[in-house]
Amino acid sequence: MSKENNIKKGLLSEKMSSYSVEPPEGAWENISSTLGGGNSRRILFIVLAAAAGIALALTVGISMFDRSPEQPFAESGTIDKDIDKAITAESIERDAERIVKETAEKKIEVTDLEVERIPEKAVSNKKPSKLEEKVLIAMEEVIEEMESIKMGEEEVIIAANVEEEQGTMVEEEQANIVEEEQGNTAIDQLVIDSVASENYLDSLAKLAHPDEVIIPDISEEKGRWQIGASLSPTYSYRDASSLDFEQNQAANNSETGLLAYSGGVQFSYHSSKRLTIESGLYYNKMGLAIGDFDAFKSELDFVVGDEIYTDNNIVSLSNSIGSIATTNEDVFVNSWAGSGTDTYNRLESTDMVLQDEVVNSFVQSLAYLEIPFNLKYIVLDRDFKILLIGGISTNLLVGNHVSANTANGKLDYGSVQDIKTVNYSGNAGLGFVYSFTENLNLSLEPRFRYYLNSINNSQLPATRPYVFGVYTGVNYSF
Amino acid sequence: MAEQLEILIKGCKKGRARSQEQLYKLFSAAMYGLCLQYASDEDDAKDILQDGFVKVYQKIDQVKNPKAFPGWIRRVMINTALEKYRSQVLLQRMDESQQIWKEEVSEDVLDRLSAEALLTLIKELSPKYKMVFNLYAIEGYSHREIGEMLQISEGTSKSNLSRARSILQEKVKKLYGTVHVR
Repeated sequence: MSKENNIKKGLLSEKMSSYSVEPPEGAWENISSTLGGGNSRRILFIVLAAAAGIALALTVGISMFDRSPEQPFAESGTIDKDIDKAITAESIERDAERIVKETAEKKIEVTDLEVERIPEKAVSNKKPSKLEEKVLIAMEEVIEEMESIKMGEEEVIIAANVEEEQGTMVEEEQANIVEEEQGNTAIDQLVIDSVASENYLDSLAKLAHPDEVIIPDISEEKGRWQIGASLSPTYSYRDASSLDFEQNQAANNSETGLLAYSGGVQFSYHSSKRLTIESGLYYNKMGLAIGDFDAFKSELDFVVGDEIYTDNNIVSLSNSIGSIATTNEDVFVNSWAGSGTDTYNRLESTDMVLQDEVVNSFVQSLAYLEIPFNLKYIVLDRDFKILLIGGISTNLLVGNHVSANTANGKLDYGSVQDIKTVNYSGNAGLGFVYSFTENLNLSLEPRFRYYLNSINNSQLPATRPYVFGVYTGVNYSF
Repeated sequence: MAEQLEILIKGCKKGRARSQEQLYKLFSAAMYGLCLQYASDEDDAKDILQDGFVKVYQKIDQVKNPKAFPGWIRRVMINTALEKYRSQVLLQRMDESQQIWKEEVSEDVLDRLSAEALLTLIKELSPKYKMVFNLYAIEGYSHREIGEMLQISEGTSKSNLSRARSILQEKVKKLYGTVHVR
């Protein structure tokens, strides 16, 4: 529609746009029958839902039967509660008559009942805005139209609609038929409420002036929860830039990143249409593989504490994270911060042998429980969503294990000493979410996590691990 | 209202009969009023309404934003009416050189009439005048857009509109006596 002509649209356009006439009898039935052809799956679903409903009704009925007589049925069931919530046909008819009467007198007085139903702006003594004036005018038009339309014995259209809906609802509820989906009851109630309240008039006002009545974006107002679970392969390594050049070079030559996994559950709250707050609990494995290390054989007796060891392996592990404490009594290990450097000169280079197996490499595995606090911002909001993710996590050390890889498998070797149990990381990532039903979605989230603190203690060179993972998850919204 | 409408639209997208019926109840009166503007009689309007609603339910997946729904359903109904018009009426393409009605007709006269009275007059217009008048004066489309919709030239649209206004003015004079035209 051109802008130029849009401006030209005047009273004539407004008048005709708001013109409405009740369609003839049978129109809906014809539409319904035309639509009915492709609904065989739906019919099957309804039959199954009805069967499930009957089973549920029997269960509920049996449990109700066991209740004590002092407890009124209405207090325990939702049916009466819903009926109480529903506006009765009589009350609507009464209200409608009163509104018609008041409109005829060209003044709208506010009663207690209306205070509940009419927005504050309409109740105030302030001069109504243009928008409110238009809504009121539209309401008057509707009321006039209601008066002119005879439906039965002076039933106004609102009363007729509500009565029809209420009758249907009561019949259904008396029969204890569970709706095909949980949402249906809510939909019915909302529709009944909307038809029976000023919302219905609002809707007609909207139809009367479609370009001017702004419907608030309710998605900004409502919050939705989501729970889910996700799993990811991860690649972890560390930032050991605090090591001096030689140490760093040696560390980089001997250490490689570790492929591991991460998984957990998350829950999130949609605080607005585009912003989501997420937390949860994840189990993360990460660490280092140490492939290049030096083993020495002592030429002399080696003294540790009060003990004297002879002909033992002494291994220098180029380890950027921390001192490895071995559980094997035959082995002594130095880390970068180890104190045995001077000793090396007196040692003979040899293969590292553990339980008669030559050790090829070590794997230093750390396990953390991660509690994230992430914000997700929806960049593309369609059935397929794209999100930006950022936040911080608390990481609690729950596992610390070093194993030695030999040609015949892994051998337990020990654990890393002097590392912190509580750590913090920064998180960043992208999210790709596909909603395959209204409540279920599949997510794919490439995420990067960088530790904000050094995970070893202050006596060692600072080491900050980082982890990259692609999380695949299933989420349920409610 | 928006929330209820959103729920109904979601229900319709899933093919729920109850949602379809509620949506029909909410919009049928306004849409039937619209159909009457474009139809030759009430049976014709009922046909347009029925065909239009069937299309609405079939194409409701296109509606991403509930705010846009009232405008969208209106457009679907008008398109349905246009399709019916095209199938029923052999469009007579007017030669561009034909006389274009130049007189300026004030819409004040028409503005003073009630919607019902105006509808009665519009219904008496021939289909080609009625279509152009509705699309231009009520829906606000440009002559270029109307030309594309009705497969006529822009000039023909202008002349049809002018003629439609002139006819309506004459009818108003006959029915309501002397009117002052600015």
